[in-house]
Amino acid sequence: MNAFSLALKLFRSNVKTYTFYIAVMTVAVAVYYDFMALKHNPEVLQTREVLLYAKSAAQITSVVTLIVLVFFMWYSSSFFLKQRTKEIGIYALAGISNAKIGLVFAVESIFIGLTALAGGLLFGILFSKLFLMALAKCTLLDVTVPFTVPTSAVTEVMITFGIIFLAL
Amino acid sequence: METILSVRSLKKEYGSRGTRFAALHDVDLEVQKGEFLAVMGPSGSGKTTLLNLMSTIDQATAGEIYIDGRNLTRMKNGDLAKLRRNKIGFVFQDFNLLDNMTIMDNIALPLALNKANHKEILAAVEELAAFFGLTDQLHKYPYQLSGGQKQRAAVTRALITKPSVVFADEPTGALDTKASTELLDCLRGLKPKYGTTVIMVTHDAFCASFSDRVMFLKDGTLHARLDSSGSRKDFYQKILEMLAAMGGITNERL
Repeated sequence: MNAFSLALKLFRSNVKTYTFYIAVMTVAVAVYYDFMALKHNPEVLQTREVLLYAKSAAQITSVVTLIVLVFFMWYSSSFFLKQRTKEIGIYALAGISNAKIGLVFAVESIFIGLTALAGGLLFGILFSKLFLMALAKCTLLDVTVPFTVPTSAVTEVMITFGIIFLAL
Repeated sequence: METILSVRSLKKEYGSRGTRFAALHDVDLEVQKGEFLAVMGPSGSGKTTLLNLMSTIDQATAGEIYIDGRNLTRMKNGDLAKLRRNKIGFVFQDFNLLDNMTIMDNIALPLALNKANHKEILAAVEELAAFFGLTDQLHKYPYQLSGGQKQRAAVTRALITKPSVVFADEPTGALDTKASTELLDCLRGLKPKYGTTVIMVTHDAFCASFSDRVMFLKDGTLHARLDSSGSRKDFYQKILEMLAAMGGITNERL
């Protein structure tokens, strides 16, 4: 068993503890994706200038979401780590070097991040049409919104959250 | 008999400049291979400090500690980790098992991280578990076990890497008399079977009477020693007398 499989094992047994955390992050990723989808939606891009306001609003909201999320993750990961000091001590006494313990925990949090990212993208894509339709209704526009998955939006979400997850 | 662990003029101070307090001073100790040593003393006498120093958990202010001829006080972190992995086992009062792993995984943890072969790990775990009577408990989680079983699992984990020395800090502190007796009998049975040295800190004369030798600590120095004559009952009496003579803490037990 190497660091990777130990991390996988820990992740599986700790999923219950992390459920709420993962749920919050999934929703955040989904919301962020929907705003990105709006930004990159070809139909929206073609419509009139009214939507420029909506677009900039969407951008501001997504940035705010990101900032809140970064602080949320920062706080909760330090909280989780504090809860698990005893566990870290046991690993240290089992003769695992500090570097390796760090690696195990890093890999585990990457698993959590990937789960949230995948789940978030899935929900985001599922609800993106609903979101855009609601927006069209609100802005009294008469556009039919086709269901699209703009790859540029997906990549942007993945890059942004990839960086955040790695940084924390 | 070869010496497995030796301590030379060990000193440990706590606190910062001005309020320095020596928890241990001038401690010299030799432990033979396969010996079951108990360290006793009133609270605050430095027994846990001594154990922490010998088991690499804490660092000495001055003096030297050798395990298997290697000087602990001059080791770097990486070497210490290796030493802990190969030479030392730990048992604590509150078991310190990982709640989200089965007993099997808990016991196998130190081996698993040594990158041992999967089959060898299984065989080693099953053999030791049988010795400690845990075969039926291997696939349960720690919360499904009694205190005595948990502590035996912890001892099994400490022994799985076939360490030279096992350090136990009040291993029976959370157990009742029956579970304590079972555990101590197991610890005593290690010597003929695996040749493991056990160093146990305790404040309980009953526990200490299972050992081969008892060292008494008082105010940070070694105060006296007692060797077992073979009969546990006599040894128990002698320990109680010694404690009483030291200004005993265990008089209430008489």
